[in-house]
Amino acid sequence: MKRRTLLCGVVPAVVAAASVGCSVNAPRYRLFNEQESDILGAFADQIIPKDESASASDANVLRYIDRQLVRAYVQHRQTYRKGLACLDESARKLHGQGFADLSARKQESFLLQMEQGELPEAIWGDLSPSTFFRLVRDHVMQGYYGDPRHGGNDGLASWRMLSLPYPPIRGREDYRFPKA
Amino acid sequence: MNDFDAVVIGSGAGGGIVAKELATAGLHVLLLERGRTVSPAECRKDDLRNQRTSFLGAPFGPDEEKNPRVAVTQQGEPYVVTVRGGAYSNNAACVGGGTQSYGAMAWRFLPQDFRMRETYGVPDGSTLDNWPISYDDLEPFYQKAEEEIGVSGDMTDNPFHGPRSKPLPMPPLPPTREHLLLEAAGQRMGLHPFPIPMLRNSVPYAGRPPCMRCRWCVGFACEVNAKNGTQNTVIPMAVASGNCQLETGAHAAEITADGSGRPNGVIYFNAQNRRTKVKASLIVISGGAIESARLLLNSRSILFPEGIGNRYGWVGRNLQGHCYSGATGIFDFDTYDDLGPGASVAFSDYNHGNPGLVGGAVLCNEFIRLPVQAFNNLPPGVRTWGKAHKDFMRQYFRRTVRIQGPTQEIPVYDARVELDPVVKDYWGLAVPRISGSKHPHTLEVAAEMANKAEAILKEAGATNTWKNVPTGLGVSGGQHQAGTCRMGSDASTSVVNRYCQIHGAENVFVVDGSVHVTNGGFNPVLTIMAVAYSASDYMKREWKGTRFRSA
Repeated sequence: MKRRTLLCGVVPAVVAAASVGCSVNAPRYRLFNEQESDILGAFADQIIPKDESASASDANVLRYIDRQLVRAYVQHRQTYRKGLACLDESARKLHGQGFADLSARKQESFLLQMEQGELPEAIWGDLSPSTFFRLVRDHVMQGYYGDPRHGGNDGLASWRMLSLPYPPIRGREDYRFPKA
Repeated sequence: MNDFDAVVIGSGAGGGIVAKELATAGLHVLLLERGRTVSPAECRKDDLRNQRTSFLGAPFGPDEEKNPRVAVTQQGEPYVVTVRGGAYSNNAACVGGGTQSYGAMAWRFLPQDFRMRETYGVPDGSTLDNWPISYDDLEPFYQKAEEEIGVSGDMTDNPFHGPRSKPLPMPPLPPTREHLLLEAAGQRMGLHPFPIPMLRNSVPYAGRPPCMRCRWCVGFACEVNAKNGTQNTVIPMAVASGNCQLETGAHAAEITADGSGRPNGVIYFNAQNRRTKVKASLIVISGGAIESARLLLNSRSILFPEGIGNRYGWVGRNLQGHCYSGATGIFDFDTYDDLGPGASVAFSDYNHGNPGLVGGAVLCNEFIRLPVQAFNNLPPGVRTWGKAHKDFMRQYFRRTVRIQGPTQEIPVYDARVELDPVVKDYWGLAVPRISGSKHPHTLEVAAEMANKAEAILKEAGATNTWKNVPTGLGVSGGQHQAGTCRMGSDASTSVVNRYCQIHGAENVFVVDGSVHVTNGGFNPVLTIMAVAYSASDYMKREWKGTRFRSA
């Protein structure tokens, strides 16, 4: 199990081999089922899309969110569960397809509507689509730009993109003074 | 029979200094700290979990689950907030308090900052007033703080500061690229740029090494112990005297009183959550503007049925912090040099003398930005997500300069800390309830400070600039929290006198930002330190061998 996790996390290049290893039986996430992780993955990749540098899912942002929803963001767990379901239902109503199955262009325009709060209110009830949008956007940003120790920013993807030196401790190597 | 000569509650900028001053003068001191000791090795360099960007938690306290607070919206709705929420107004709870992880700017307030009413008159709807002490009264104590805690900098090029008896004890750190860029622009505009004074070693000082210039500064503990707080200066001196017992994990509940109502000690919950009672002649409260007010309000006796010092209802009033505003500019060349602490150059030209405005702010370039601190500061019109956002970050993360300043707030009587009638903390004590608004004029001053910041960036060659201005009237507090136990000569419109001594309770002192009548257009810590030295000086003079004098 340990080796398998390691493979998935560290060698994304060996996609075929790794994903076969992963999909066997252990669920990838603690909280998200496969459908939820597909929806959230598509959502996150609209927030940080793939181009010459890593996308949100390349940087394993879902692992960050999944991990925090059982730790620091426990209070948002139900919001995610409900929000992802409402999001998918809204997509089916507007486009006749689940969110993850929409074309990238349709996903983007859907999220723009969601950000503006222009989704069918009846589906969302007391949860505001634009509030949920901002919550997910902020968590994706944290998972993408934040410290890898919390599950995201895999392979220092964003820090590489911004050419931030690593290890991130300027001056430590040539510091001439004994530490206190 | 007393257990201690003095008990000091809170080991931050104020309490740490009082404990050291009293202990080295021979008093037997108990220093209570509700948090824990943090060591330099604990600089975990975690951009998601620190005192500045506490997305996942605030490692230097307070404990999130045990210490809720209640905030009240501008519409009057109360709601429970945790340490990570902005409305909580968190500072820290650890040995050294906020000084463990602060940015460490070391400002003296200006002479006018102590005479705001005299300088500007009283704006409608405000409680703006003068301090009962002047800059000159505090000058020797500013000097002592700069020397004993340790400040680097050079005031030669700043013509606006008050008279100084000595220069700063350490030279400034070498300038950053941003510093050089903004300094040249400021000089072309006829302004007076100068290096920010910092409670940070630029050279070896007092047995500790100089700054390593890493990017993990404000919000973090210093890996090499070059950032000077009370935790690595006066508190070790206090403990080394043999007269000071530091107890961590100690959560103060109330100040006790004897049968006649005279305060005589403190009840606290120790690290094992055992209710503990100690008696002391002298009681010093240094919990920060929110917790100090709360402790006073939670301490009722026959002399003070509404809480110690609260005979006229002023405890908890005039809560203020700073109304930060400024501007960001992007350049067509790299301005980022990865040199900490980042903040480096200051302009004091706009602290006073702005036509039609009350006060102003010192403007400084912002501390070094980690990516997770920078992703949401985009020019208006750039989408906050998607390809456009990513392109912006890639192109401009290293080409962005931000200038901002702490606008001096106009105090408002209804911006306040009360006890919440419903919510209790882990120990069953009523929690602080924070309510009220900023004065509308504060936002006008902040808007003008943003204009000034933007003009400097434009002169420096920014190709695009935008302003960062506060939108709402929500009350300020946070790390610069102040004002809730105002210092004054009139007992009916203030809580403590010029020596930080509570009116009508001569053996109880409040020594922290609470006593600030106004909070300057500067980071307030050096003023808290100077006031602490001044109040300690008075306590030592009035100490009668085994007891504090009776009024």
